[in-house]
Amino acid sequence: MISGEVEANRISVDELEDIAKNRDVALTAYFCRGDECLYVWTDYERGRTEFTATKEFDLRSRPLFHALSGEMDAYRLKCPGNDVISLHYGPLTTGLWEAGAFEILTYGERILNVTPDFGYKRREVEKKVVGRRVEEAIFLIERLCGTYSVAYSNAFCYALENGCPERAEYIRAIALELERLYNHFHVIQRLTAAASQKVAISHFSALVEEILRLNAKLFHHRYAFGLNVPGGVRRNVDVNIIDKKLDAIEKDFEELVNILLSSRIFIDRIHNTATLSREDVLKLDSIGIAARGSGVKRDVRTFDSFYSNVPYRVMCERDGDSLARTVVRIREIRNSIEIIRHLISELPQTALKSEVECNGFRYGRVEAAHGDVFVAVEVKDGVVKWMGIRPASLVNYVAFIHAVERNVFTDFPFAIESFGLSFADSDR
Amino acid sequence: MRWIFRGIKKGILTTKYPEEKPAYDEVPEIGLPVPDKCADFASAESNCPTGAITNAVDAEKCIFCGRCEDFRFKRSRTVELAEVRKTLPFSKSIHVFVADVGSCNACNREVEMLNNPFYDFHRLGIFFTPTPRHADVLLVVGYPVEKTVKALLEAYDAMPEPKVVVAAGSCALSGGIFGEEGIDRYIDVDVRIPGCPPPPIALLHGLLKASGR
Ligand code: SF4
Ligand code: SF4
Repeated sequence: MISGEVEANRISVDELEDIAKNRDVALTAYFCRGDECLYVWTDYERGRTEFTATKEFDLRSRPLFHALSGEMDAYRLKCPGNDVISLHYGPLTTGLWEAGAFEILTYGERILNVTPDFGYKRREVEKKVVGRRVEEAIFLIERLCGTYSVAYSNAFCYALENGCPERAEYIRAIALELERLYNHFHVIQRLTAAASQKVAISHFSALVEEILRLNAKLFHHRYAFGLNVPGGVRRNVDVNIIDKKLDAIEKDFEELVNILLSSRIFIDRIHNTATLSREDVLKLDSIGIAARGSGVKRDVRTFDSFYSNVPYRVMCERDGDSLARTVVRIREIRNSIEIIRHLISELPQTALKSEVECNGFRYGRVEAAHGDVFVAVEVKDGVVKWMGIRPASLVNYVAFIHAVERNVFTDFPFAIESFGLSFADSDR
Repeated sequence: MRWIFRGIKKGILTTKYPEEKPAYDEVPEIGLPVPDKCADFASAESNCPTGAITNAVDAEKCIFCGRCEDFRFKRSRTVELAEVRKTLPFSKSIHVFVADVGSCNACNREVEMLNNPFYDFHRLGIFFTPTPRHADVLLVVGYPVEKTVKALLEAYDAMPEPKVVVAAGSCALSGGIFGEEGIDRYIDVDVRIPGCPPPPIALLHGLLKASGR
């Protein structure tokens, strides 16, 4: 688990500048908390999360800052010139499956600029949790983005707790890997859908359904809502069910990937599509799959002590296109299956829950399927006083905006799906 | 070609529903909680995050969080359907326009899942349509966010008669965990499918009901 006190990790601007001189420090989050500004930085090499309260530190050169402070307009092309067609795509389209919109500038063939238009799903989760008890706040946080619910609720719980029973930690990790599996399968399914590979869609969506059904049996919920409680987990897991299912899923998956990767039609569509270079990743502070597809090892599991005893390996590719991101996903699927097998074989026999004393201002981080999610929460006597959530999609939308420029119009679905972004997530 | 061979090898996955009851795999214990003989109603009532428990459990308010299971409530294996007010005058083939007005992405993911070979809703003559102009059914999911509701009402107006509105998920029905009010404030709902999110079988059930089957 990665969590800690905010105050204990607070540093001054000078110290930050010192660190940034010889190391790469990524901007992770920015929050307005009362009249104070809170900046969160991550040093991925040393695995440290630092907090500063500055406005001055080199922020104009950080393109991510605009997204974090909610100024998506900053990414819009100002004077596109004549002959440029402007399209507003959304909010109700079956193509996106979600209420969200894109502002697209195009010559008809090349995409000049794409900006997501947020606000169609704003449920204001961060505001609504304030004043609630933590046991109840967790239900809102799970429903911030249902398909990444385990990641968010894990991060929230780790932020609250100062250690939880071992078995609970294992079960949370299993649920997280299952979530990674179905999201990765789903992204591949969407990519095949964009390539109109009708049969492949069916096969991969069947894999998604298999995992959801496994979730339903294990956690009494297809998306594992209600699994986490502050201090542990609500349910025990039946190891045998996972074991059997996992073998079948792995076998299916290997066969499918074999056929998929030998399909030239499919590979041609994602090869060299929406390329993000290593420099772009560093400049845009991208995370998760987007960073790893471009050869930057950013995965918060690398500095999580829990994963040092688990057969976890960080997966990287170098090319930075949709194909590279897909290959990272495929390798992570294999790794996730391996991790789950290890976790169920070593499942410790401890209690499921422990009492937590919820007080203080702490943060928690978890690597979700699309990138790392960051949760900071201030709690007093078990009641949430303030909360800040930095969803992973928000960060990678900036990477997507950059990567999709200059691509041809028909590549748009391949570009967006390969990042695995969600409006519910960034629009919280 | 290899895809097709694989398909044949895999055999038939599709659910027998609605000819037969849903199998255990399709709906394990993910249904509405029902009290045990010795259930602790008072504690469950005060702990339920949405006030779904009074004398019984209100399916539309319940967010299926499982908290009442700590007080001897058991999850059922049934698919609930709260109410059907109006159905379409035809039933062979219906076209559905999906409108997400602020869901957490789980509800619309479940709708998307209807496409997979386990449910294969095309065999029942149900189809998604990308435009409200061709739609007979407006399927609303999610907590109503003002900015999107405007688009929803426009889509509703663009639909030809006859048309029915199906609302799915506790967010759309009652506001769920996010608020006090659902979509009723803006639009008349004809078929109500509870769940958070409603599993695909429940959606299938609701859509069949909307077409009078
Ligand atoms: S599952 Fe949750 S919302 Fe539903 S009745 Fe039980 S406590 Fe209430
Ligand atoms: S009803 Fe539940 S699953 Fe559906 S959108 Fe609302 S919170 Fe998400």
